[in-house]
Amino acid sequence: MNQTTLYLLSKPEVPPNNPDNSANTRSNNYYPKSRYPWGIDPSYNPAYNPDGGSSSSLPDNQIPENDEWVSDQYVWDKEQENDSSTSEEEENIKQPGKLEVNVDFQYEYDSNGNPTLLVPNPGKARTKRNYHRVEFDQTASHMHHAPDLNIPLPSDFNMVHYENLNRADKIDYAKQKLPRETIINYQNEIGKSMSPLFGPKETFLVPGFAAKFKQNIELTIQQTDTPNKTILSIIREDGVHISSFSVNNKVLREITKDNFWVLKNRNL
Amino acid sequence: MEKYSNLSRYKELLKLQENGEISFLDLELLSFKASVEQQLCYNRKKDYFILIDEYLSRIIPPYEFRSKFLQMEKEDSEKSTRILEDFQELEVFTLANDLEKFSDLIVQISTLCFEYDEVWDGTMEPMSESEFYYLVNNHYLQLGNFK
Repeated sequence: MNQTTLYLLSKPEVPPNNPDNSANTRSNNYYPKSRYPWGIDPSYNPAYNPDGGSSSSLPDNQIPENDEWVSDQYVWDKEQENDSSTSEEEENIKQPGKLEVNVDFQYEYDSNGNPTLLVPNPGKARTKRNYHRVEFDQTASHMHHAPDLNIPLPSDFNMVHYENLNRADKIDYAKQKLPRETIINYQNEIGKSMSPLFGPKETFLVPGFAAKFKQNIELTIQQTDTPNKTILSIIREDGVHISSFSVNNKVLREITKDNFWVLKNRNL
Repeated sequence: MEKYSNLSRYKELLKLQENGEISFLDLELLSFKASVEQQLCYNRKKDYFILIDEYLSRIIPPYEFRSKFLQMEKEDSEKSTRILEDFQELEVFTLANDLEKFSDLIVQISTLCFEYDEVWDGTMEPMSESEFYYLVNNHYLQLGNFK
């Protein structure tokens, strides 16, 4: 793998200005020429693709002729109906009852009645997935990173004990020791750490690799207000969120230098 | 030791980032920032070596080793944040000539410590303590020249 594409989720991205940069070849590729909000290259977008979309693109900066304008409310409503029927994934989202705590994302319930947050996927045109899924149990198995996302844990949560447990036991322990709200709040913070920021801080979505044999993943990398603290989120190829944690400049540099390869000592 | 001679370039990169001309993932900028942290680790390499020695000699258990190692790194990281904001201090900050090689090996051990507890989605094979020991020992042997 020598080519990596980096998608900026907050503001236009720019190529690294670094003649000595050892990863320059890659950088030339992972900073696309065109810049689009939410990291979406229109060339991936079916709406801009004559083969895959229902409409063709308009020439830049050109207003359609008057007779092409649609002013009829009925037509708008009809279009909206058609739009909403295009996505099976969106259709299948149940409209669940209210959660115990407010969350910033849509959600659905898993078979155990726990919420899975559906975080809009900024790279959906490329991956054909509308959402990243932040699952309750998966989050409960990663409580050791909760403080990184400013989720406080009670003093009787024994982290040494927790970290020595297998995944199933970690989930049980977290459910037993923590209020459900804590895990849902953690899910919500994870969702926010994978979402675009509107301001001076940036969020990137980048294809990467995990484990010894380089399984394909996606990473979101989000700046925080704390200097030297960046939140990195690992998303499995099918869109399920795996883990979010903070990294410092040293670690971030290593991961970036390694073409966004994480957990490289582990076997999947 | 050599002087932290590229302060002007660092300032330039910060300006470019501020203007949105480079991102925070720019490798040159990240390398500047990381080098301060690496040097702080280098400055107290004896402490790191003692800790690794204690683990390899089985004086301290693996969990304690991992958490202490990551804690020491966190301390270096916090200190580097303060230094990076203080240009006067950066002006006189020096980097070791063999810093890169040292850091490459230390970061391998640090990565092992961090990754050890990751469980992925349940499909990730757990890393055995003997494999962890072997890998730490392997990297540590290569650090022999820095003792």
